[in-house]
Amino acid sequence: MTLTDLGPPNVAVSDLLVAVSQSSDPRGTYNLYAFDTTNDGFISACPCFGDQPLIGADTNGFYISTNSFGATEFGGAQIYALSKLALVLGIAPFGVHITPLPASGGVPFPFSVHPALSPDGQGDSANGGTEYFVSSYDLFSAQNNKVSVWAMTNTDTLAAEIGIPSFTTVAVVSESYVVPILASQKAGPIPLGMSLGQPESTLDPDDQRMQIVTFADGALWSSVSTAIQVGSEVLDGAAYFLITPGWKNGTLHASVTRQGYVATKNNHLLYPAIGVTEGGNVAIVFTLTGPDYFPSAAYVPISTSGTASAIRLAGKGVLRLHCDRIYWAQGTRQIHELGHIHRLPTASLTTGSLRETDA
Amino acid sequence: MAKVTPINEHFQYFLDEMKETFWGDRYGQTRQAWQRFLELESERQRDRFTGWAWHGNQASVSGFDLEPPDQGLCTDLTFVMEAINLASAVYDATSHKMLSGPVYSPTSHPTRDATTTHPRSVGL
Repeated sequence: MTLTDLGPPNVAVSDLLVAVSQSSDPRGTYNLYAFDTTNDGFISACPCFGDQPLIGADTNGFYISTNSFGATEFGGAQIYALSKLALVLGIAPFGVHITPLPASGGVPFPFSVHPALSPDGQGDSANGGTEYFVSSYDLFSAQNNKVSVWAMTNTDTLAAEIGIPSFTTVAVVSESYVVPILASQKAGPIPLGMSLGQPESTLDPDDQRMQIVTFADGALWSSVSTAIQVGSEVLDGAAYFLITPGWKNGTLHASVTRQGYVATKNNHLLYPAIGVTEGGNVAIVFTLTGPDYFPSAAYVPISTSGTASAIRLAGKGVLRLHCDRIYWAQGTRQIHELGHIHRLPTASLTTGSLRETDA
Repeated sequence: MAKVTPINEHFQYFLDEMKETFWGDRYGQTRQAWQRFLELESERQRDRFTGWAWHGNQASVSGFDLEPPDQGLCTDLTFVMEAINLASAVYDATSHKMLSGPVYSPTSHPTRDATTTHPRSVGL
């Protein structure tokens, strides 16, 4: 487990904290680590802290990616690679810190560069061990039709403590995805909001940054939030990708081999996170919300051919989210069919200006 | 040395917000304290996450707004470990019963007596 540590109030220090369980039982004891991130970022931006630490692992390493922020400036995306063996053994790990990251396709600000996890925890054994990362191509653009793939090779050097890994990137053409819009909820009581004199609130879907990345069977599954047109409506949905990386003469290349959209009529899908089992089953889990649903947990299976099936409800919300408070359902979990997936051609997607439509 | 490029308005807004939360904001702390008071009044409407949410909200003590909550979750199909902001708990993956926690994460970690957030967890 990782945590961002901001230090005492009004003191400009920061750390990343890592806790590694000493057994397969998470109720047991942990090896605990903290490393200083105060000066990790562009010099003019720091002191900084590592926001949104994202984690991944292969057989050799444990990888953390952060977005570094200072008081007034973005400090750049940071990547930390630590020896997994050392973390397990409870000794000080050999590690590398990569900053600034190479520009993927010329984009100056890599952001939320998500390291990959794999169902078996082994990753790719090619090139002395390769850990992949995926990010949205350009977070500053309202519309993207690329994703960035990153690769750290020779990860076996982390365990051996001889040499250092290499790091490279490539931009890959994909289906389009755009900035998601503010999402509505089913109407309901908001006692806290009324007591504070606040109106009914919409839900913030964040931006189109990359969500969970999973490496399985030689390819990378990933997904992002996107505004999407469903019939005459503009809603939030998911864009998902299956990216196959490869190497030619030592150079990374990659291509999108499967992709698609997931959306449903009248309601929004927020924060899509994709997962793959060791058996190869793929699903995207997300929050379902809109005129018909309080914020609810839902998911959609993805077939081996990359096709999404029907959306399924895992846990139905019973009250609105308001004033930063989410209310969850009690009781048994039931599975309900919501409807069929609407797969939209790229041309039907519209731009980030749609945010105003729903706000 | 890294090249520093000006950032756009969207990010400037985000940075302003982060600046406020990072360095502390007395107005925000006061407002959050009142919100916390009112939230306590409505806690009876919550279910099994009540205790957990209380731990998670400790972040507001330092003036760092951690709502909506940051969440980390992993499972090995025997246990489910979930962290929300400053708190974490372990569940049985089959029965969904809470086996341990919620615990206030910074008390078990070598922090700088700090505001701690953005949990991520993974079972390997």
